[in-house]
Amino acid sequence: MLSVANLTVSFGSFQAAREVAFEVREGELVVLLGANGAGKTTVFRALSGLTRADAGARIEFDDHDLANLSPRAIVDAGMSHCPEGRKLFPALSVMTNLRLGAYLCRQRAEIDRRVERMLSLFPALKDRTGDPAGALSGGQQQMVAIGRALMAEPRLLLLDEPSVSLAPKVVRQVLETVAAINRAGTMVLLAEQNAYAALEIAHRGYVLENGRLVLDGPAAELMQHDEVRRAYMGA
Amino acid sequence: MELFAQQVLNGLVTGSVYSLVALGLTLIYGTMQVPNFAHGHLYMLGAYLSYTLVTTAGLHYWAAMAVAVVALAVVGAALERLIFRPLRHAPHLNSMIAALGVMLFLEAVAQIIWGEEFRHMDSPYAGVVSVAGLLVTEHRLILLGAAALLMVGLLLFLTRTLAGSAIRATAQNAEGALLVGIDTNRVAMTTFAISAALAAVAGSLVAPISLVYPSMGSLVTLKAFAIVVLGGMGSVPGALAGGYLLALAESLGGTYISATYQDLVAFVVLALVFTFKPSGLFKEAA
Repeated sequence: MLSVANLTVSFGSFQAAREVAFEVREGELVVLLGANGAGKTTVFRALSGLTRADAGARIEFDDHDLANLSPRAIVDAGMSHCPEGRKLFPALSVMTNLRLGAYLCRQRAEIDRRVERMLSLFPALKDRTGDPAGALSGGQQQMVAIGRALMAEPRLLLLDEPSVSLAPKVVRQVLETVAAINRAGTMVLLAEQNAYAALEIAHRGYVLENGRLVLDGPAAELMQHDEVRRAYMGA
Repeated sequence: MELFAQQVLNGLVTGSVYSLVALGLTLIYGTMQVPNFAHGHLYMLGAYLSYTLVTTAGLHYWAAMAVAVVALAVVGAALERLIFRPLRHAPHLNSMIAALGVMLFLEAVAQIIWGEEFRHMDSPYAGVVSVAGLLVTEHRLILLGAAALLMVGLLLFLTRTLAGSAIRATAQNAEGALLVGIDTNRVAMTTFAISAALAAVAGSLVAPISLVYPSMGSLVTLKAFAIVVLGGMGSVPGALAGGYLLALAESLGGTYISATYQDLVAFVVLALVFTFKPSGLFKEAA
């Protein structure tokens, strides 16, 4: 279980996230809703160690305190971050991208086994393993990015805006896969602008505005919430 | 025709040295975005170390080179750890200024230790052999072969090993590398050590066929920058091909156009690349 409290991230005098507190429980898929610039990505980056949180933040994951550990230690603790913009290695092959996802696992046979699993999770990648990741379509690149994060066999997957700039049909595919990953036992924290599609697969959700959490609840409730419908679903 | 072939051979010999130096420069630029203006001075340091170990300590040429390589790897790692790492999150200009500072410092150190005069060392391979009608010194042939072997080895290391993949991954997306658990600080240090070691090999290979002096690295740095720009900043194949291309252009230009302007070729190439293909010939990173 991930439990976050008092997470504040400042850039100079600007606070991109303010006293954020939330949790992801065993088996849950939790969605973080919010407009562009609401602070979703900042929260994710602080969780995975790419950005330093202000002093006083508490990030507890399975009884380990992860606040301001190195990204490497956080991956090692079982939390993987599939970042906004994917951050793939574009000139390296799809296969190398995937294998590097298991960088901390040094057993070849085990890495082979994980690659097999990724290719069965994303069959579209099967014929592309030798191609440079940068040559793939947006949807396939997103699959490589998710696959790379899963190669570490995380207990919790941080998934930041996987559907950005993808065609609607591909968005549905990607989100269905995310739901399947969650059903298989991996906790997921998902940031999405596509609120309706995200709430459909999530258990619970939080709404972030100007760096603060303003609303939370079970997904079904949020979907009916007037404020959420007005702000994020155009209803 | 014989003149032409001779000049091509000269170009390949010089090109081997250029490529080794440019490779280190492009690796450092690719992984850290640091333009290491001191890179040619690492090459100078490598040449002096080999020179000293051979002429005063009486070591065999290859043993001297091995010591120089290890010593420069340590110098490279120290430069990264002590100078460039603390500047990682500072504005780019700071690491450029630091690189210039390192360059001036190394040149001054060389002047204090070895003085200003030009030094020369003999190669244990002074014989002359005839290859397809061309007369070549053994040392040049050995230089050609050793450089080619080293480059093939480096390419295999970068493409076939986990450590090599980590270096390429860091060059292509540093945050992506962090997120899979790669220690990018260690990658930066390893890359600097490898680059400095390559420069030491180049300096040691060239010492017996040219002169060793404190500022011998300056022109090489400038040319290596021209090569890296020509090949595409951060591109390994670009640096390899660019090194040979520039050296061939220089030696043929020097023969058929004007020897006086031989060193100008690099800068004409640089101007042309900036004008017509600013991303370089091989734009793909690492």
